[in-house]
Amino acid sequence: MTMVEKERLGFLTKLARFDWSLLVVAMALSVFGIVVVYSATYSSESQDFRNAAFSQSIWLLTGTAVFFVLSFIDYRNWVKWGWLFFLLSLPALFLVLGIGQTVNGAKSWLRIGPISLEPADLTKVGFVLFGAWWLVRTKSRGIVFAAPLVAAMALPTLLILKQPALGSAGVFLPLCFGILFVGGLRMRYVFLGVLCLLGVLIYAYWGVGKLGWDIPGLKPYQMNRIRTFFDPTLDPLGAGWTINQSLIAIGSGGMSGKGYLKGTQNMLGFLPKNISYTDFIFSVVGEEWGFLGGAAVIAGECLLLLLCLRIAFAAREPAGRAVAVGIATILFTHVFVNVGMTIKVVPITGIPLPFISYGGTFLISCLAGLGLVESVWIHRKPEETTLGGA
Amino acid sequence: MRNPLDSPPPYLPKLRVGVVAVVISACLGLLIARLWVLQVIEGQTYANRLRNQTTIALRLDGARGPILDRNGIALAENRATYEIDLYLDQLVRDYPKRHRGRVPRIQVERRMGGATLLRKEPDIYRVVMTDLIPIANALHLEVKLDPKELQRHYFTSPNVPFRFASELSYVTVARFAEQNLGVPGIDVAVRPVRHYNFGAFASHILGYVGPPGEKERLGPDGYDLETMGRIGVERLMDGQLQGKPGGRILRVNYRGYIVAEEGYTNPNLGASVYLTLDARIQAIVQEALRTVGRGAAIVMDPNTGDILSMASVPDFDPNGFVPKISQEDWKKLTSDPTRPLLNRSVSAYSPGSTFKVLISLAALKYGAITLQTQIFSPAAIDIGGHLFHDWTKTGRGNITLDEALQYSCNTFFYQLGIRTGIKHLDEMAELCGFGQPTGLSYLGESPGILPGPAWMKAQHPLERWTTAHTANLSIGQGFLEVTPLQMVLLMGAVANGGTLLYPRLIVGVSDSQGRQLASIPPRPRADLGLRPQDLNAIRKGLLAVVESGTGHSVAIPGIAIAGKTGSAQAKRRWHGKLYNDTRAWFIGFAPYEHPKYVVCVMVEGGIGGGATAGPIVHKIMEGILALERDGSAPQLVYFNPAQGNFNGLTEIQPKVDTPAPVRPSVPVHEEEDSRDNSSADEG
Repeated sequence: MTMVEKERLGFLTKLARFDWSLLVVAMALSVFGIVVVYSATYSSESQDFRNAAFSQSIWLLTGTAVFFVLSFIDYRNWVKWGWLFFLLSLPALFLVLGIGQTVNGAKSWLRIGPISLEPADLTKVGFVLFGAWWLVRTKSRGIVFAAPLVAAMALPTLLILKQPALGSAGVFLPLCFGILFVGGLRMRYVFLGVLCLLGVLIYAYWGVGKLGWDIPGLKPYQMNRIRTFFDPTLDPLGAGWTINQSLIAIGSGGMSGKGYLKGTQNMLGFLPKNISYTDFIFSVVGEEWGFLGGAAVIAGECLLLLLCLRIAFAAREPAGRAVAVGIATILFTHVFVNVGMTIKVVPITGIPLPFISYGGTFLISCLAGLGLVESVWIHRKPEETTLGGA
Repeated sequence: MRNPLDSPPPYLPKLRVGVVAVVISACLGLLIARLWVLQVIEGQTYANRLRNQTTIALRLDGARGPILDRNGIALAENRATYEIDLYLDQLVRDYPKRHRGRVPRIQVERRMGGATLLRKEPDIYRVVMTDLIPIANALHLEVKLDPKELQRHYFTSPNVPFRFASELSYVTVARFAEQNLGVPGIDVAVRPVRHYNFGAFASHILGYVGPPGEKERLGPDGYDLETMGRIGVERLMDGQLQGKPGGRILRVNYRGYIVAEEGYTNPNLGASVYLTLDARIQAIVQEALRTVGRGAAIVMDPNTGDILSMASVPDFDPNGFVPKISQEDWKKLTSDPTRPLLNRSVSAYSPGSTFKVLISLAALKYGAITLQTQIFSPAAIDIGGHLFHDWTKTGRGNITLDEALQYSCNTFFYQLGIRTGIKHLDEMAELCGFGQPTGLSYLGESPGILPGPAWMKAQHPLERWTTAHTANLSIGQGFLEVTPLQMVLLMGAVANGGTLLYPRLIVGVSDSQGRQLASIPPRPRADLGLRPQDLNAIRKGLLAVVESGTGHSVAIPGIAIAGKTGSAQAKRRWHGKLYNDTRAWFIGFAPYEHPKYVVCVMVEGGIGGGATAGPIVHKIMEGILALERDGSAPQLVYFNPAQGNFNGLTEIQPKVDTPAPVRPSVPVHEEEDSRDNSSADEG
């Protein structure tokens, strides 16, 4: 059993080791996000929508502050109490099932005074810390290593499925897998995991898609979404409406888009107003900025993820590596599922696009996650800087 | 500090991070690839789908151009009509606000992409009724709506207004506006509708319009036409009269509400068609002709061939065809035995003695006789073993051509025709356009029948053309059939000094700004080829007909009128009995010296040319003279359809007590009549 090692670094030292590239990319994406949120909401009559871009700017400033604070605090302080953060986030998940607010059919928001937050976001970060904590606690890289993590993953997944927020629940699986894989899980288990993943994919594609099986435990509306994913013409005015309109929005954007504030799909309400600035913001990007804009956003997100992985690469300490990879996996899953659903690569699930979608807690969570990753970079051992540099 | 023995099994963490980086990059690369397919490769498809769902193109029908007479009096033009339109979508949208309740819903089965789905949709019938009933009650309108049709309209084209009531009276519209009955979504709309200003006025010429049949004809732009010309000038000139449609392109939002207008093109008024008709003369003629049960009358300018008036009795009101004629009315029109839809001016009838004009022309042209030649004309002559009678019991003795014309002496013309020979008679008749269409085929004209040896061989191979046939032709009886229009053209040639003209009914076409697009000049058809002194002699003979001959009933003091009467025997079977249905004719021109009008009147079921047709011509000429003298014309009013009848038929007793030789004397005639009967009944 090894103690997590601690070095005391001065503030100026930390500042000198700060990796600005991470922040620059995240800020660029976020500012672009605000620009797009404005476009998605400016033509709306409701005041709530019209304030969205302004609110998002406030959230961005808040999130940036959180990012800096977390960057300068040694992440190992958090990892040490990782199990506690995770456990603490669970009652919030129970609570939300009882007194949560229902948004878009899922009871996933807690309202505390003036702010509402989505406990699932906290749980995701909590799980990363928990995984990192367990990674350094156990020497096993087999069943003993994997079983508690899988069990710990199942609990929030089931609770979130109960809300029901399919998308959020789906983040935990790749997250868990990412931490286990980078944490050094034996290859035989890795293969087992990959086999399971393939099995699920085949089940989904052949069983659900071609043969029309039901997935046990899913609500009818969720099943409908999955069915319309396989065949959007099934009910073009009902369940298939959103995906069809999203495809039309993005497809009609063409190479260079229709221009800023000129997206008719969103303006005329074909893309429902209540999701065009949150979960379907990418449709607005695709329509107004075209392939160039859409690809740039994906590339930007990819760059950010690779910067996170560079930090994981540079970390020689397993907990830091796990934190960086965990956060990257969360962000990646969000990007892939969110963009994927707007262009019919995955079924529609309500999860936002990091840094672009409107949403206070989620933006702050993302920046907080990046703060942890930055902290991993700043608090790496001096000799580990061989790969460093901006 | 880390104890090497305690450390976890070794692995290559950097490699694994690298693997994660590769997987992530690959997945996001996949998204970019998919984005490329969607936006760049399939982009146009989606752009089209976007266009389809965000814009609707509305067609604004062009208004039909007017049809005017030669003086610019509009005979057919467009009248504004009012209708109530329902904008279903707006009614549904406003329902909660206006009635403080949720929109009633109804379960509807819809087929979508092969699957039948049960959908909840707004119960559009109830929504509409809630708003419409009070309005309809206030306007005393009956509400008859089919809920199914309404629901379908709402589902398929919510943006297109649903026509609730059309042809609203002006009073209703005024009340609607006055009481401010409209609610958003229920509105009065104006639509141009064809209107024939004077009702049953030149209706056989104008024709009428009707809705195009299913897939019958598409406009030049590929859209359905609202109306199209059915017969007559409306049909012939449909391409010119149709207004160029305009259009609106509207941008709609996801619920189909119109948010902006993207484009607008004004619908245009179609071109104006000017006719040669003079509405005032037409009114005079129609007034004069409607005293009979069946007949036709034409007034033509002999110098240009312009048809100044053309009437046929009975007639019909083309307004009855707008917007669509009822099944009932249509049946009434088509089953009427007097056949109001038939244009008698261009239908073929036996000309009787009026044809003697042509015989005279042929005889003089080919030198069969001279003006001084006298022919002995008894009460009857024997031709090929049959007795051919004059209409007098006494005969005329030795007479010349002008006297024969004056008294319409049959026995003179039998001999004259035979002397000239059927070859020359047919040649002349052909030159004058008999047996051929005159060029107004759009009026449904008949070419008539010009019989001769060749015709006989083709039509009745078992019979042979004999001199008896020639004799019959010489007094305009037998197989011969001509149209009043052909007769008026013949008389026109006599009047103008020998030039046969094509009739002209359309002067030209102008666009809605008055710029002339096309004009149709008068067109000569042939020269009669007569020596002037010969033609003058015939004219003189015709003058005598009116002054002191069979056509005296036409005479008007102060104006010299020339003409020829005719009474063609025809028989008609009616309610199982055989009747004489004599066609009474008069063709003539005036003034004698410098003719300006050629008139032809033909009456079915008349007594005789002088007795029946003459007074009508007299009335017409009187009217025209009054018009020339001081411009006094009958007021142009709305004409009700002239009703047809079979007055004037005289029953033929089954027991014929006329001398036996009469029957064989006109063998051709008998046969001709029975054929005529059948054609008149079916035709």
